[in-house]
Amino acid sequence: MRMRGSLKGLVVGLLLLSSLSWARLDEPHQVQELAYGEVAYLYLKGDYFAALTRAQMALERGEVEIHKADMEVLLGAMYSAYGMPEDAEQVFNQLLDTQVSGEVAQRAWIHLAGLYYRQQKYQQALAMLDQQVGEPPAKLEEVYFSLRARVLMRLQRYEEAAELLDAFSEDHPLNAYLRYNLAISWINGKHPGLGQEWLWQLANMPPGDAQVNAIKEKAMLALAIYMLRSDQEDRALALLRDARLEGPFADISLLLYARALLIENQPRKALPVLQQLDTKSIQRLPVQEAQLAIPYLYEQMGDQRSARQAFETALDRFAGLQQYLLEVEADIASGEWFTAMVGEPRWSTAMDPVPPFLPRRVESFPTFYEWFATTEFQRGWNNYHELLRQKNLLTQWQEKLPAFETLMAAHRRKQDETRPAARALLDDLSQQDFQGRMTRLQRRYDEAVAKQDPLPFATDKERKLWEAQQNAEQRTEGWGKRKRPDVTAKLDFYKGVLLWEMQENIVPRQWERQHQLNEIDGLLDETRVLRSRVLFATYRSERLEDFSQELNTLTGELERLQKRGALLMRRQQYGLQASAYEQVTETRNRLKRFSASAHEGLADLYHRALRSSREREQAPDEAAPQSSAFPLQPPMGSSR
Amino acid sequence: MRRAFILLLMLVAAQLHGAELDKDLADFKRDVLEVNKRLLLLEEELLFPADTQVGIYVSLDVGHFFQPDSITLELDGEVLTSHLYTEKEIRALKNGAVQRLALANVKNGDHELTAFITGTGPAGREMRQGVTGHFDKNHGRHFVQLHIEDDTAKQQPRFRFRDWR
Repeated sequence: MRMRGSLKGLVVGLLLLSSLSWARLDEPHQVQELAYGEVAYLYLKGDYFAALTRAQMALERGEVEIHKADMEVLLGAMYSAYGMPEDAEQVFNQLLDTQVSGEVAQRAWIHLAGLYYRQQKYQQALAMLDQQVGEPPAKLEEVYFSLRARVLMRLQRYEEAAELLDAFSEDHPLNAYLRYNLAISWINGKHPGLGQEWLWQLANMPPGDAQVNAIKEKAMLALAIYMLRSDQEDRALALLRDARLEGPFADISLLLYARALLIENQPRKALPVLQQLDTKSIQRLPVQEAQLAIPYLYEQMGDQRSARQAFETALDRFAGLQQYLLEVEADIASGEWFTAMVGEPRWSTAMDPVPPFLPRRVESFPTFYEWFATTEFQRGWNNYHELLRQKNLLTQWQEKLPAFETLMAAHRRKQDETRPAARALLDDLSQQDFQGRMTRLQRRYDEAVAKQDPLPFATDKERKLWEAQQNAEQRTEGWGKRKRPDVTAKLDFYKGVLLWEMQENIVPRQWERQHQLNEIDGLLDETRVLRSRVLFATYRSERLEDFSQELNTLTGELERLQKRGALLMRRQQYGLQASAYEQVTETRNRLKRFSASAHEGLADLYHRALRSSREREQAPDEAAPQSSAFPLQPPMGSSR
Repeated sequence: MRRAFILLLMLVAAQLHGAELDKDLADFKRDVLEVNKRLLLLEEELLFPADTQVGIYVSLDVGHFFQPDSITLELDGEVLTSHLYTEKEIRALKNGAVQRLALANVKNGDHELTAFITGTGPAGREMRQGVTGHFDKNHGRHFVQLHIEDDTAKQQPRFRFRDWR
């Protein structure tokens, strides 16, 4: 019954996470910063590690302002899903300590509550949902209610959880999942009748995708088990008659069907069902049970010979399996079993960034079939996979490092070539003193404007005329008394006319000159920017030195991480191997019990045969001699 | 001997397992993320210095009339990159996420971008569309967006390059 339960939980968890962190669907674009959009892209395509890294880069480089809070919620959610609860908690707490919008805060609180739920702190999770989130906005209702329903179920407050189911549409995948869990809780608790009714509804849902079908089958089996327990064998029988003979629940369905037939006293019908199970791998629990049930069934039908043969077959198969499990144990201890399970991991260059990583169907697969579906195994296996991916990533970086060195050397060479020319250019610029010259020009302009001196704004022609006039004035000064008054008057007149012409449009002239000065100033600004870039480039060698140091640090860091990763992988592997060993031990103990039962059954069979034979010997006249159903020598090694 | 080894293994594993291993794993992931981030930043600095860097991004708003299958991008007449879309990527774009299609180095000045896009258009019709745009590279990182949007009036998709500001 636990089949795929944990997987479903994971799927539902991911569904919740994705819908909560990125609730928008089919709405106009709201992404206003590339970095946020890019992180969302990586996140939504399932490349969580890349999304996490990109989010960290964006926050470090200050690439997000508008979406900073959204980005932090996303980052916290990813930390949480990626098995880094402390980091997630830190991000959410920091975010909630700052001024954020109500919706962002509610999303953060819900994530934090989800984190507590995963950490099995159910009371804290519920308190957070009730006290901090309060009434969720429409966008977050589904996520809020599903989380609350799951928390309430964990707290065994089923009635309250049931009330929340109305928040989901009927075809929502969570609806069936929550209803199933609630029904099981009720069946085992206060409302078995209601639980049965809900299971019946779930079992009769129209067929859908793999998730829906799995819940249907699980509901049907749970219902059958409940019916068998509560004296409703005829209904259980009717239900199990339609059970699917394929898929993960086929074995248990067949076994339950056989049990129901036996309870209904129909051994002849039960026999072929058990025989069908018997054709499957003895490593499976239902097959082992069937193996033990078959001889008792023959006995019940009065076929002593077949019963004896079936007991012996069961004992042989149990012994064979015990022997095989000893080999599996040895393989587990030596690590061969784990290596075979892992196989050769595929690192695809295809579009899917995460190649599927499932336990390979090695020979011992059926022994661990149920364990593979547990949360414990899935978590350990996924951790191992993640470590493998990290190791692969670190190896890829290590392979890239020589190329980094080459790139750095190329940058350094280029620097060495261009730096002298750049320095010379900078020196030249300093000597030219463009800024000083510009300042002096501006000062002269300001003085001319203040004095309303037209000469600095004169045209070349006017300047020549002015100079000629000044010349003439000097020369006439030298004439003394010979200077005619009309010449002086003429010269003054010409000077006046020239000054008048120059003064006439002095404002446009000043404006034009100011415009030229502004242009020069603009050019000087550009030169300053270019100069600073050249200056920056000449100091890039220092940056290259920083890069070089960073590269050396990272090289050492990569080596250390590789070693840590390898150690963690071994620890995770040992953990899984230890659990696998427990599984084998459990199976072996069960087989011992089954073997003991088979021996007991066989001994009883012999005992009864012997007793009836003696009774016949003691009363030979009462009945005609009959041959025994089978020889009376007990099999080798049989004992009670 | 073997059993003793297995028992020892189990004891060691049980001790090292559980909460402690989870914490060590989280610490390891944190450190790997940090190193990965630093390496990516360094790689970007070395391969695509800010002064020559141009990033080309794709967005889809909202995708009622077009769903991309592939994009081939040319920069100044040279093929820069090609990309085939998975279902997940299309879903991400439809949800408003933005894909970084390529990073490149260019000199300052005018440059031409051309994209050849194939996909499914209105009524499931196969579409192949070319779109050209120009951008003027100045100093500093430069971002160009290939924006695919719904033209509701014409019931057609519209493709255009635009500088991301």
